[in-house]
Amino acid sequence: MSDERYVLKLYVAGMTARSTRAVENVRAFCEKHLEGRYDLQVIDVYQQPALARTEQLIAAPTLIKKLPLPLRRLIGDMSNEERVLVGLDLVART
Amino acid sequence: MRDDLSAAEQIRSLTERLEEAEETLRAVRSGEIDAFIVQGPAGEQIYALRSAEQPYRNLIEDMLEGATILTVEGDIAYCNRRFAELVSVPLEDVVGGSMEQFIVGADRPAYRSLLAAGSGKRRARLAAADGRFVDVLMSFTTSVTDDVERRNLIITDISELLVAQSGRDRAEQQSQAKDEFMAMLAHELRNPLSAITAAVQVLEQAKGHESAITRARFIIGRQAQHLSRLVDDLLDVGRVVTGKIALERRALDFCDLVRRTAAVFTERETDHQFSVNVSPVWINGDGVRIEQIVSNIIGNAVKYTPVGGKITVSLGIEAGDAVLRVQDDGFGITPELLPRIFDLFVQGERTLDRSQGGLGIGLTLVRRLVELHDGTVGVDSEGANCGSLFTVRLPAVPAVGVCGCADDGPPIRASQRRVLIVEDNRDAREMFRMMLELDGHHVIDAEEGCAGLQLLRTEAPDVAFIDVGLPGLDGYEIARRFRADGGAAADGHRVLLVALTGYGTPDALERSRRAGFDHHLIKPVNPEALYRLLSSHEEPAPTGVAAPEGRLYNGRLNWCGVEQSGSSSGS
Repeated sequence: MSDERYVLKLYVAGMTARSTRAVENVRAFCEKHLEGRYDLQVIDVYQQPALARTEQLIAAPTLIKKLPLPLRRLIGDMSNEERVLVGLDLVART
Repeated sequence: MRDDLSAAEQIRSLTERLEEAEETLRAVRSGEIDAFIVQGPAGEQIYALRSAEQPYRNLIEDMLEGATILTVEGDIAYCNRRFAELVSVPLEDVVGGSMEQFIVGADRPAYRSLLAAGSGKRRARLAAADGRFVDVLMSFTTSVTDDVERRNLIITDISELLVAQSGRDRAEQQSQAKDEFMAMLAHELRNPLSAITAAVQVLEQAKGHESAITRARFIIGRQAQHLSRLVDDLLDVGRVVTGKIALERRALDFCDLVRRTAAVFTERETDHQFSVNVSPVWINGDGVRIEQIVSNIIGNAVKYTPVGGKITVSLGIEAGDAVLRVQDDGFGITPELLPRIFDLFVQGERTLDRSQGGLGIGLTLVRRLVELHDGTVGVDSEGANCGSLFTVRLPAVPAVGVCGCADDGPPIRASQRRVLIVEDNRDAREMFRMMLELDGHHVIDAEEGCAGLQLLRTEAPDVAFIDVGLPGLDGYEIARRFRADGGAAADGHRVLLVALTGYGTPDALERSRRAGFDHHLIKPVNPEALYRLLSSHEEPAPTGVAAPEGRLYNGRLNWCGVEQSGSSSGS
């Protein structure tokens, strides 16, 4: 279980403070909890709007866990580590 | 069991989706998002909540490029601050106007075609409101927002880049020209040296073969003269480049000068057909320099015209200018070389064996000297093998009654003199001594300063030739000490002191004068100048006292050497 590879996509809307913070938070989170077993792509919905459609996004920033299944979406700047841990199924839900 | 599981699964899935929806609402409510993404008829629309655009705005406003958004007609819908600065127009006055007004006429067709095409890059020139012109790169892209088509035009100022580029190109060209020059200089020096070496060999072996000996002597003389001319050219071009040539201008019979200069070539260059047509015209010029101009241009025509070629020299008055034309039917000048032909170290290829030699500095000298005389020089050539035409224009002045060319008579043989030579170079001393003895003078010599001064005091020569650069006591010091004694020999007659030096600058002449020399001869000593100098001293000044400086300097006509203008610094 612990060596499962995580495939994550972070959708942001441009270079806002919140988007850049979301990028920072997610990267720090991954290094801490998923070191060596994650692939993270950051996609700007302004630059690649077509990708937003396939993901059925409704807001940005959105972090999507593609793998391992099930697929999860988290919205916000990912500043709450607990919430991200739960959202990515890294700790059991209460 | 299976149904129960399925129901449990479904509940869990629903719960998760509900949780996700709740989580999304929570994030939205707590302001954790930037934008909503909404499906519209034209695809995804991104609705930024706040300040999502601001960072782009800052980036675009602060970037070094001018950024504009144009309507398809070319009106400016938006521009950044940088663009307004580039064209020197307040930001508020730019938007709404036409882009084309800032583009110079010549570049407008290119601009229009890019505007119509909607994409592409091109160099252009902007005309700023303050009169400046700015070289730029225009880069067009197209974007469609809400069915409205716009042109994005990015304008990059490349003027500094172009300046840096051209500076680098020029430096590279110069460095290359210098390398070529050094190679050529070595070649040019080796040619006469090898001729001289061979001639000396002939002299050693050709006992009794009078004709061979005469020929070898003639060749040594001619090649030495050639070497000396190369060195003169080098020194001159150095002065020209640093702007240190001072002219001694006076009314000059240009017609006479051209005729005499051309005559030197017509006598010497019998392989070419000369045609000389000159009409009387006077100019205000430095005779030595004007002759240099004329002989350089004619010499150039000779060099670049094959045997049997025709060279036409004509002089006349046109619109108040004396106009000299030298035309040949020789190798001509290629269109690539034509604009650079007057540049330093540039010269055309010659199919001949370079026997005439040259350093590629003659025409640079010509142009600079003509400009110093407030004139112009130009060249025309239809191309390779079509000949060349050089035209020099100098302001004409009214004629003066007397012939401007003095002291041009035949060499005068001096009567016998008692001569002292002080020179540390053994070969030079020996040859100089032989030259004077063959002419019937009584010669004594010394190889260093103290002995020289001693001989000067005890032997009382009529004339003393003193090299200024001597070991021990230098030439200046000899002159100073001797003049301090009273400037005369023991028997009371005045001794003529002549400085021998390789330097012909005004400074050098002034230094000799101050030390107490009467004359200043530049090495190699021109035999004619030497004889003239010796004969000018027919009647030694009967004085035991040093003449006042002004009087010493009255014999200025006898100052010899290439730097005639130098004597003006003494007055």
